Amino acid sequence: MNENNRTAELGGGEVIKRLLVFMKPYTAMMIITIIVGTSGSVLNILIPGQISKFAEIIQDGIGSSIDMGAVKSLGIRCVIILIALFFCNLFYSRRMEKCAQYVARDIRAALNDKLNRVALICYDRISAGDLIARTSVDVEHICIAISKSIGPLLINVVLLVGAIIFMFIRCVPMALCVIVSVLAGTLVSMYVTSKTIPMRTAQRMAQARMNIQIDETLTGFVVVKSYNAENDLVSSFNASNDSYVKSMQKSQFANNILTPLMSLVNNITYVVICLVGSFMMVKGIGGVDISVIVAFILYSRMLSSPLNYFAGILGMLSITLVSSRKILELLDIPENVDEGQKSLPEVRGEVAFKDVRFGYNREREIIHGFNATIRPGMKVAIVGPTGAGKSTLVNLLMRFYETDSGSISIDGVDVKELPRETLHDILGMVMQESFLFEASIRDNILYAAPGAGDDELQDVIHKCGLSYLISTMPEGLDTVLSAQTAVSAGQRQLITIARTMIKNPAILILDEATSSVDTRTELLIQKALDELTKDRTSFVIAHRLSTIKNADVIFVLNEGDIVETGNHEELLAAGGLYADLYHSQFEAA
Amino acid sequence: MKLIFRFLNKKDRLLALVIIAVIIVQVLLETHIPSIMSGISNMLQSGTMETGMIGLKAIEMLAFALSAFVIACFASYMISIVGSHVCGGIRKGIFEKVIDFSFSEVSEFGVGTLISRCTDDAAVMQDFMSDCLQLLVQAPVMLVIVIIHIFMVRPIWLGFAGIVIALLVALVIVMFITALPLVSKRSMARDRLATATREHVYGIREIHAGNGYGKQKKAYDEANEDMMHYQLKSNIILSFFSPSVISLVHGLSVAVYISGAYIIQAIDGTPGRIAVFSDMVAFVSYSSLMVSALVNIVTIVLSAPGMMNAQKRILEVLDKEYTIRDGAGAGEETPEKGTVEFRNVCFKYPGSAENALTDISFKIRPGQTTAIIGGTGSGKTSVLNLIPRLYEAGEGEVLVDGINVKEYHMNELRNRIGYVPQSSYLFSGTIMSNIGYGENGRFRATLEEVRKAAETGQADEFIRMKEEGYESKVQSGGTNFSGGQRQRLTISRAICRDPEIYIFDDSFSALDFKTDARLRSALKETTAGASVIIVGQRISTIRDADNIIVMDSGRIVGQGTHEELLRKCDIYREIASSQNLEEAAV
Repeated sequence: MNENNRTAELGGGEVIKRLLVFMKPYTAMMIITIIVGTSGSVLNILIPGQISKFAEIIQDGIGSSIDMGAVKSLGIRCVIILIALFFCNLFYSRRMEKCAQYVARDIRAALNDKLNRVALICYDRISAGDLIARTSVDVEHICIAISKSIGPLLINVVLLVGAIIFMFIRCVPMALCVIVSVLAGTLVSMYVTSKTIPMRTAQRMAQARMNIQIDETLTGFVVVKSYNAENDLVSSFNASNDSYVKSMQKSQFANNILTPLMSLVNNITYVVICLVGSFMMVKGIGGVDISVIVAFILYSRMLSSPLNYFAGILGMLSITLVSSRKILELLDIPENVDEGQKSLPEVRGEVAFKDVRFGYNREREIIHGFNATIRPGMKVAIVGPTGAGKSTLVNLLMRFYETDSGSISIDGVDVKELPRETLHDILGMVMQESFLFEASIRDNILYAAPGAGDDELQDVIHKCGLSYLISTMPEGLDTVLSAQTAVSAGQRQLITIARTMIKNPAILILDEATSSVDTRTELLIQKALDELTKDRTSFVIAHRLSTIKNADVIFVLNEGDIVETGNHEELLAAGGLYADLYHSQFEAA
Repeated sequence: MKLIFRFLNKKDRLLALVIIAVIIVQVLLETHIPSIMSGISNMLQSGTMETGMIGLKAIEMLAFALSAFVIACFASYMISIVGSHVCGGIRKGIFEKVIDFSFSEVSEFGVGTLISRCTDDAAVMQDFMSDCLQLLVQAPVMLVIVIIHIFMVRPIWLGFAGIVIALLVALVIVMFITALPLVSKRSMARDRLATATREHVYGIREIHAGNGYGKQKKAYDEANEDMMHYQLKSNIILSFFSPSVISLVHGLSVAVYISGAYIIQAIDGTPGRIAVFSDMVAFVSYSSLMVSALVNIVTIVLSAPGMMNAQKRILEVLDKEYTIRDGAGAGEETPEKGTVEFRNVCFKYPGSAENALTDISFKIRPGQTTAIIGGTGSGKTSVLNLIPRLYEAGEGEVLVDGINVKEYHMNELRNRIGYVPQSSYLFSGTIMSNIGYGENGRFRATLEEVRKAAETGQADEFIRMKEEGYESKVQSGGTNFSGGQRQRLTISRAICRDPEIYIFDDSFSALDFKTDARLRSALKETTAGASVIIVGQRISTIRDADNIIVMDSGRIVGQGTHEELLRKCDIYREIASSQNLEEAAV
């Protein structure tokens, strides 16, 4: 996804602005949640004051008698505050979680919808593994950012400011000492955290390297085993593992040390409060007594949660920013150009290529000004050596790719003027690489023709020689096909042929449709395919030239140009590339 | 935890003991600080405090805090050593185990889950180690010591603490029980989401061609909704925790002060009263230490299900028994160099009830070319897999060079063989590293040898056209090369091994006829003297073989030369006629 470098460089503000779109539907919910959460933090700040009042009452009565009535009413007030606090916090964390999960769901859905609009040429650069990581891990990061860093922002501000204000009200000198001590501690821990970032990066990189090694080893296991590559692989894996252990040890140490560091900061603050408080109490300055010291101990503890939050927020946001960019990068992949609006109610099946030029990238043109007109009902064969551009031509007709210049039209209508869905209803294609969905055999065959009846289904199954396979499957037609299902490459291909056959399209494309099927089965299917191509405009690409001998016209392609045109006999007589290819098929090994 | 213990070596175990001892000291030091404060408070209340004394007490507290910190750093360092060592050990252990697997084990697990066990599950273990290991040791020690402190100060307050602990434990148990089933449902939804995404990427053309946008969207949205539902449900259950902790910890302080007021009221004499009051001040500190220890324990408990699941999956891999064991070794001298023989071999895939191969017997002599032909699923590849002992024959014997494959060291056996599998897989690296891949027990391929192999394999031409030639980058799987190029590279890779037995499993399918023919004649020269086994679909590619084996449903139905088979083998004739070869043969 190199072309999207611009997204990768988006500034933080821009990224947030674009993500806000996803939060918009939940604005009201979020505002209410934050208001409730913030009221909770106000209640939270009241608590140290109440507890220190206990100390005050007890202290006042320590020499004589304690005012138990005051203790009781204060106790009741405290319990009410605590219960209210509990419900505010609960409401807040549940609601915030909901908002975050809704947003995550919406982002995932948006990514999925996007994929249908992405120009196919970009798919070469998308890997499923990477995409899955983006839709799970990166969306998760945004989700966490909403519930853990954006949501609690106001709450933590209120906690921090409120605690500071209350401390200043109680005793200015002590408040100053506490703030200095806590602030210094926070800065130190922020510094340590910042030091761990490069270590974590190194660790992640070593980890990624090992994951690739594992993936390759297992995917290419036949080769690993039969080429005795085990020792090489183990030693290179161990090298990665050693550097992983080293970087992990460092980053873990830095991470572990944060806990004692925080308790040191807490302890120092504690000592400072005791020291200054006692001193002022002994000297009788500012009316400090034990209850003030108690209050300060509680306030200083209360400070640690917002300070941790503010210390961590930068790290969290930088992770979120990276994840958000990755998601925006996907959303910014170029989309298919505008859909046409025309319709074609009656398809005759005339296909015309006019000066079609195309290249997968700008430097290398694959198709150089292809011209051809195919009359309705013609069977067209496209042959040529590997890399001649055969599949590219039919892919352009399917509009999987867009021509660079020139036009392709069906019954005189440019394919670009037809909506994609209409175009794909007209065209039916059996692709080179068979793809089956993780669904039942029935759903796989009926994929493009959901309305087909049971008779048609049985007929197609019979014609494609699938009856035996289906009879051996545990649940027959309703057996779900997954990677573990024992279906051979040839059988997979037969299912995709059945899929196209039952669709009964106006124009048929067979791109190496029987390449994985053995020749005996092929012979059986060929009959069905011949029947299908009869009186129907069809394009056939095949390696085995025997299968296309009866084509009305054969285009011989070489390096993106038609070098010969004619039927089998004409071309054989001409003694050119086609004759060459045809004869080499039977050359002795 | 079982997995972690398994990877602790002697040194680690020793370190672990030291760590526990050190942490006990650290916690003792740290928990002593509030009791100093209690003393200060006592003196303040009774008016016996002097200015100089305050400084002294502060220094005492500071000394405790600092020494606790230094010791804790030391513990952190040792924990990071043990932790990273165990994580590395786990990864290394899995990799070394898996690489010695045979195909039976790999297919039993499935490549996908095996990869995720080695990567994702190892990462879960690693996160657990780095987030929880320190807390795992520290939190229980802290909890126990704080409880002792509270008990020594005033046993009645231990009652309050006990109630809070009991409430939290009950809460965690309820959360755990309700959240646990959701966790597995959530991971199922996540798998479905991943499947939908994978299909979207790999099946995008089918989706476009079949106008399947609506179907795809429906499937994805359902999984997405489920995912959100379960994630939300389990997180909402967890969201009870933090508000409860906050209210309970404050509630504990309130309870202590209220009860303290009653206790003090009941005591006669100011000094006794002051002592209780000072203890209350200290108790507030202890209670917060106690709660933070509890919260840490809960954090570990809540991350335990994920860790336990990962651990189980990793242990399943580590404890898997190998089904194919190395032989004793055959030595240099073998009776019949360059031969491969099958004697009444039967074979079934693990977990399958039916035989994939039944009663297979044939012999390949040195320098001969043998071809195997047959329909899809007739067992051609299964025959090939038995030669380098990728799978183990059930009944009968497979002999290479006249010796049963089970008697060889795996390396010895495979050094004799150049195997080109059906799917052309390349490894990330360079063209050079791919063609010179692996070991053959004799030499490491030099550039010269790699180039020669590539020339024979008809790959040299396109490699030279590349800017970086033999140093050109190859992406994982070889995705930056076309199917035909990949096939030529994998053929070159086999040639580079200079083996005595070549095995080609339908390895010419992506080549056009001209390249195919050129490659074949080049190969003929290079492989002169070596035995060649070819699996093919096209009669044209195999008709000149010295011996052709025709297979159908896992059995040999005909053996002989092209002409012989045309005469006597019905299935062969059918195949030939389907390829129009009878006329061409004339």
